[in-house]
Amino acid sequence: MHFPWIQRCSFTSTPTLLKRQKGGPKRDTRILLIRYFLHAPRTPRPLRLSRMRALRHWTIHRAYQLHKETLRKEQELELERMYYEMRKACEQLRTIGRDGLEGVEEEGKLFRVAMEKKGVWGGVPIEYARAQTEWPSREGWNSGWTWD
Amino acid sequence: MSAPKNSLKFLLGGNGRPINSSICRSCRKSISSRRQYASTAAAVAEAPESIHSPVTSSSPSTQLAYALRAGVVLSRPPQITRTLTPFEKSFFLYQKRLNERLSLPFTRYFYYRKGTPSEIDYKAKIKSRLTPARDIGRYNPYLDDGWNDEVLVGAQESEPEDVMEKLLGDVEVPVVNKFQGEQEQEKGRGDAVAARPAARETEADRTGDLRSLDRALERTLYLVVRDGKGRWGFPSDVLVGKESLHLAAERILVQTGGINMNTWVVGNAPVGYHEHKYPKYVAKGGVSQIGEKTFFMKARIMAGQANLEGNKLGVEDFQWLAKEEIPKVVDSFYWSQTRNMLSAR
Amino acid sequence: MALPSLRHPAQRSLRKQCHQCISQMNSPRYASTAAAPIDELEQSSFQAPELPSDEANQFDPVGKAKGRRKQLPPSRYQFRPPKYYRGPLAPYQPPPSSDPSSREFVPGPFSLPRMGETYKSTIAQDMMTLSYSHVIPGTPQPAAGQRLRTWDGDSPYFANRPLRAPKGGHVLRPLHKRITFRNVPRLEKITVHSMSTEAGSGDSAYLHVTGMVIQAITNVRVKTHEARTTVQQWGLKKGKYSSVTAEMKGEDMYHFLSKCVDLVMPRIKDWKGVKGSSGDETGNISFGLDPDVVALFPEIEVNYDMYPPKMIPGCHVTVHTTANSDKEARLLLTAFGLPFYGKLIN
Repeated sequence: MHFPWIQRCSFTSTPTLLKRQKGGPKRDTRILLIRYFLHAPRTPRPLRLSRMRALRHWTIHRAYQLHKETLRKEQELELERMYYEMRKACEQLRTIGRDGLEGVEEEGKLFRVAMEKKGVWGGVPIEYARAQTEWPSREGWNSGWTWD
Repeated sequence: MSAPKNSLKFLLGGNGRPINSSICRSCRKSISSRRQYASTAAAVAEAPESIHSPVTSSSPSTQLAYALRAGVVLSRPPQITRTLTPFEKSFFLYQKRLNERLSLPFTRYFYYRKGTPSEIDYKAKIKSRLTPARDIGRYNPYLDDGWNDEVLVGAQESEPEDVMEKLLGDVEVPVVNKFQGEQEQEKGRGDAVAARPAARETEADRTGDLRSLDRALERTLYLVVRDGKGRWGFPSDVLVGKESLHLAAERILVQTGGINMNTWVVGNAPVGYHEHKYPKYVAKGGVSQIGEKTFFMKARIMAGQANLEGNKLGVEDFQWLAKEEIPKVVDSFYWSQTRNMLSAR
Repeated sequence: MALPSLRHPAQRSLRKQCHQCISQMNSPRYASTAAAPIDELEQSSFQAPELPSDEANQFDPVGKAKGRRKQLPPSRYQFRPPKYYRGPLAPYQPPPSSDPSSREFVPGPFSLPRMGETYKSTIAQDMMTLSYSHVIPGTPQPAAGQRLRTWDGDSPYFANRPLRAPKGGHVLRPLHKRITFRNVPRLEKITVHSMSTEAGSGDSAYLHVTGMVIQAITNVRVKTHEARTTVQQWGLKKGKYSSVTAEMKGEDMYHFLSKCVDLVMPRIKDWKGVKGSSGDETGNISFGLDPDVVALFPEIEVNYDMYPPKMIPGCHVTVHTTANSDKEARLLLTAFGLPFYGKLIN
């Protein structure tokens, strides 16, 4: 077959002199294959799209960028909402005492305990670190887990 | 642990006084004691304005208070990746085919040694598939119509189910075995039929079992319980003694759903807050309660299931609900105060 | 869902603005166009009615091209952009790398990586909850002090000198920032590095096999590096190519991490995890993989025979995160399933 759009160059990894002499150093064919793989002589040319096709490509590209941006904004907004909810709760916790009112005994004690970071940086439980999969497991959720 | 100490000092502004409060701690103490014991309303009126100032208390001799409660937002994180939109599916296929046009040709001898059964197998398959890639359909950029890399409307190549079938079917097709003399059809490596993964929609989804943790695998599910009065909400209880919110959350989880849930309470700080005023003051333990304040802690369940047998909080029923299903069971005021701490996915 | 309700006011205001614009444009001449319903502005091609099925079935680009008697006339637009970038002042510039006709164009994402999805839906919010620290409303931002020292003394040469480096080293560490919803630590990139000392001594086969292996497990083209200095003990010679690196971002990065965590690391014998003292104090954590561990990667395992077994290299993996300190980075990586052992430093 003839591929006019594919660049060709002569490929050999053996220097000319060695090639000429009979019985040069014996090389591993696997290394030759790897070299062939890494420096493949048939490299595809850059894409040349027709005018309509280029326009279609541009539209698809823009649509995906917009879609990504929408998803990113939704994600950011959700984090922001959660953050301000936490902030509201902590602010309330800071200003109240044991009887839930301002300016009484033990004011902000719950808050001070809640702000402690003891044991936080030690890491998360190993069962928690389980990434999502594309297809669920055949066993399903482990409902029969027991404490002992 | 030096950082928390420092940050606490920073929060308290050096001399142990919260920065933005207008009066010092000792004054507050005296004010609060006056509030407790003084019989005249005048003494109370001297106190600076506070949000929940119980000035209008009907019986000045009793002490007013809120019931402090801790709640747990126990959630099961999503188990599978989200379903792709049709646009994303076709976009990914489009990009895969562009990549096929731009990538170096497949080096067959690097992956299949000459003369081995796997090479014969590969040769047979590449004839029907045209390309070494299994997930882009029948397409070869090096052929004459390689320019035609876009699929038509209604093509199935971009569906993940189709890709999965192609990948597994590739394992299953018969291998032509040359080493046994004649051309004999033999099933491929291992089993005759490769095991398919479970469906993304489970049995619990189909039957609408709201108590199962196998439902809605791509969503975060929250544990919602019904108390003795028939109200739905997140499990919660009054803070006991001097326990912190974290400890209270762990206790509530055990007292609600039993010990056979593998849970993890995330952090020490509350993620949300719910305030509710009683229509009438409730006398309890020498104080009359105005209402209740609930601080929610976040928790994750990794295994196990809730079991209400012998629970100490008077819980009668439970459900695992996604975010948009919760407002159907809880009342609107409760929902308005808790919706922001829940995850939309 | 809370989000649509949040979005509504913005949409409404946008619509209002559009309405105003159009009513301003509204002159007697264009009255008919201005009277068109506002909803038309919001339509997109995604909502376009579906093609009738017979029309869709008749559409056959390949058949049309084959049935053509003559070639289509060539385009009169014969411009070819230059192959290489020749500086900002060159009269003709190559197209940007996002343009498909560019030589640097790399086709975009092919999948939604599952690690990335897990991060977005679960890990990010839990990281924020775990590392939340409260700031009392009204507290002024603590001003960052002068971190570089001044030159104290009478010497006239001190005048107008640039400030002195901090004590105990010349590196200015990044300031620690409180974690809020804006800067929850996330993965930035993963770098895989492998040095083959034998390559320096003249046999390039080692470097080629190393490059092939790293390329196979990372799915990105590797870069090769020269040795900067001669080191006798390591067999390094200055100026000789001796190492390869691969830098992964986005999709490739998440796929590599999930391969490591789910396929490779559970099969390492007596593996305790990543050392707790690893890290550069600014949230980048490294660990090493031995040659026999690299051979466990599925891409190597599937045709292990085609690599010379003695030449399979080990490699160093550096996980770059946007965290400011190592403890935050470690927390993030444990959530991704990368355990740590030993004393945790920083």
